[in-house]
Amino acid sequence: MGGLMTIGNDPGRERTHGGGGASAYLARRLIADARHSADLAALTEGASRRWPGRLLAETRFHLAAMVNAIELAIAVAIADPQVRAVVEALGPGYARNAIEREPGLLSPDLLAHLRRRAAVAALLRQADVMRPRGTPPALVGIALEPPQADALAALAMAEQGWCAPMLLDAAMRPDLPAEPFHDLAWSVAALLVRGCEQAADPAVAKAIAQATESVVAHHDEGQGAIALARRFARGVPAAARPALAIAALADARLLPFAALAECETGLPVEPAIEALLEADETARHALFRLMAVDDATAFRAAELLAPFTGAAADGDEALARFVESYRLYDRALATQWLAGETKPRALADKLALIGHPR
Amino acid sequence: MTAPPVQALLDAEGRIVSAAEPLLALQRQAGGAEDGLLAIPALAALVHLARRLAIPISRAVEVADGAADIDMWVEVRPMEEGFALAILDWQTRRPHEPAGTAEGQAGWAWQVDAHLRFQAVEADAATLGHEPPHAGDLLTAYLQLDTGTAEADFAMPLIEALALRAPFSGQIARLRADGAVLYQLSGEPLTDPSGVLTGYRGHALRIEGPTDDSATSVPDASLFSPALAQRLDQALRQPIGRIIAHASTISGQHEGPLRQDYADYAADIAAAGRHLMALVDDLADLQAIERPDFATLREEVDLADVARRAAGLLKVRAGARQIRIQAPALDERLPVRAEYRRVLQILVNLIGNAVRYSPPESMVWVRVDEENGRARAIVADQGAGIDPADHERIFERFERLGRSGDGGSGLGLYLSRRLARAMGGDVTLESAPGQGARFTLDLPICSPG
Repeated sequence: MGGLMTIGNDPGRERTHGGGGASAYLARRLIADARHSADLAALTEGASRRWPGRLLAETRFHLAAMVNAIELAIAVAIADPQVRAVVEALGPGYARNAIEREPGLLSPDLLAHLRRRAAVAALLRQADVMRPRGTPPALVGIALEPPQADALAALAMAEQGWCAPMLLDAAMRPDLPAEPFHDLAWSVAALLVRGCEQAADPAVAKAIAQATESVVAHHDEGQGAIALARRFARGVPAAARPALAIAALADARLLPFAALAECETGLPVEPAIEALLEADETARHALFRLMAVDDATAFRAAELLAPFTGAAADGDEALARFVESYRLYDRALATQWLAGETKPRALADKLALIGHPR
Repeated sequence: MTAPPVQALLDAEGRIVSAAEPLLALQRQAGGAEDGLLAIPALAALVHLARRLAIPISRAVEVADGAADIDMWVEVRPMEEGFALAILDWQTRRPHEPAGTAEGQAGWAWQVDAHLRFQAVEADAATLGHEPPHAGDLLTAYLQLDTGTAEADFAMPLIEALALRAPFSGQIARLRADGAVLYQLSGEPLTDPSGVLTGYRGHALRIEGPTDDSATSVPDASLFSPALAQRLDQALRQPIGRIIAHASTISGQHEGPLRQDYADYAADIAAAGRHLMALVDDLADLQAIERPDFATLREEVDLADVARRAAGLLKVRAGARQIRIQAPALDERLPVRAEYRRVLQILVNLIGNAVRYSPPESMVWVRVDEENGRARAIVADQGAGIDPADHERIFERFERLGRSGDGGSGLGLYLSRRLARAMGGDVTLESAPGQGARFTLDLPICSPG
């Protein structure tokens, strides 16, 4: 895929923040933001899923900040000082700027993961304004044994890392699951190799590859927020899960909800989050029914998720229709939906090919 | 303090059965009868939804009230024969066009509470060219209110308006951190439904003015000039934060293996960075505390809960040295009148010191109790103890009792005591060599009602 539309200044100039005063710095930052946004918007033009502006902004930030962190990690892991000097000469934030020109490097699976991550973060950012001031979150009102309370606190800290101030030149811990991390790390590596081509030294590509291999090999997905959410959910007694899941939903915390849903239904965390964001409400109905979500919480969740599901365009009417159809969606239908979702993906694909309902 | 909710009862059709006056006033303004169908569109829509779905519904709503807007949180709950409506967090906002705002002139919006503490600021450092105020900062600590020109007869529009609960404009204010920066403030009062002042919302317009050297040379009781403190904050905090983040990433080898000597260097950098950051934090606190107008909030705080949280925050650090922290039991409560974050800061400091100076595999006890109508949090350790001759000296600025290299700045206990005293309490020490130390945070108890 060729380079996409770019706006504004030379990317090399924006890496040097010295001089020019605050307004020049701000202008550079705004231009960089606008360009990155435009590039990602173009990238997702062909996608079947809807990408509202908030998701684009969040995705842009997560992608940029994690690319910055991975670029740094690869550079540090390069053993040969001469090669490291070549890479460092590209300047800070090289990969982030370069990925705008090569967005095709990002696989659809990685983009889908980033989209889910962005939705989780976007909801967390507004959690405080989604209840009256001074009212504690619903999860706080549920007594937990110390190990579960600690696990929930650890998860909350990891979630906070996802909604850090949105600065494109900041670094964010790339606490991704293994596959998307692998994808992103090799995308960064490819960009660095491309950037160092002028050095015309075959040792450079080899050293970057070795450094990336070591970065990928040492990535521990168990330290990420998704893993922490699973750890929390698995530590919770089964009887307490539905109440906690409903409280998590009311608090707009999709990770603990999805992890609790995974324990209850066997549907993995990421498909559970995807189900919450689907434009088609069936998946949400099914997941809510399986988790025994009451009508009022279902309404609230539909309202919270409306900007991402597309329901926001139809306002309250869409929310009311959602709850009314939810009432008609019984557990048998939900179980049937779940059976379809938890089939091996290959089997589901083959069944679809021969016209069998999923 | 949160205002009581504005409540109403509606019948099954959505007609008002009874309602508090502020809601009735809105109903009349919307052209509805006091016993008629709810005529305020946003509220009527919620009632309609609650009736259609027969579920409780709550959400933030914005309602027009003449020239003003009201932000509110509304809950509609279906009952046997009708609906209960409750409005929480009623905030009136009056749109304000500041006088003399020329097109193209830079300005920023602000909102303060009734004590003139900033609640919201629509500006950032890059736009302003200086650090914006933070939530909780006193407007008068951030800006020095000026009488403007001599012929203005020492007018202080903001202060006069505050007394009258009236709008104001033309208040000249000078940025304390940089006396050359002048603003013209204007604002409108915010009230709750009962008319009680809840704060001001307004606009700050940057203006050019004659340089008044005297304003920048106002004697300041603090350790540093405000400008230096601000420069410390701006120049150090962000780069140090990045150094810590990057060094931690590298030393933790989160992103891949690394030669051990490099990882160790990075760990040293991260540790030194954290030490520097703690020092910057302490110095910033010191700067704030030593201002003559420093004050703390007085809110109801559960001392036992804060003690448990502080202990929880230090659990990992204590665990690394096999030190156990025994926090107050989960069911303990002890309400005090103090500022939450300051109490937490003090207890983190006291427990942090206890962990730092306790031998491995020892215990740190954190207890709360009430004595003679005062609340106390006690942090006791099994460390080497402190000679009674040093009991007061240890609360002095930069006093380390000859210790160094342990990550402390020598400001923690000084700050803790100053903060406790600002909240009407104190921090005291009982200790003797070889007998551990027992620090007591004393605070005014929160009496019922």
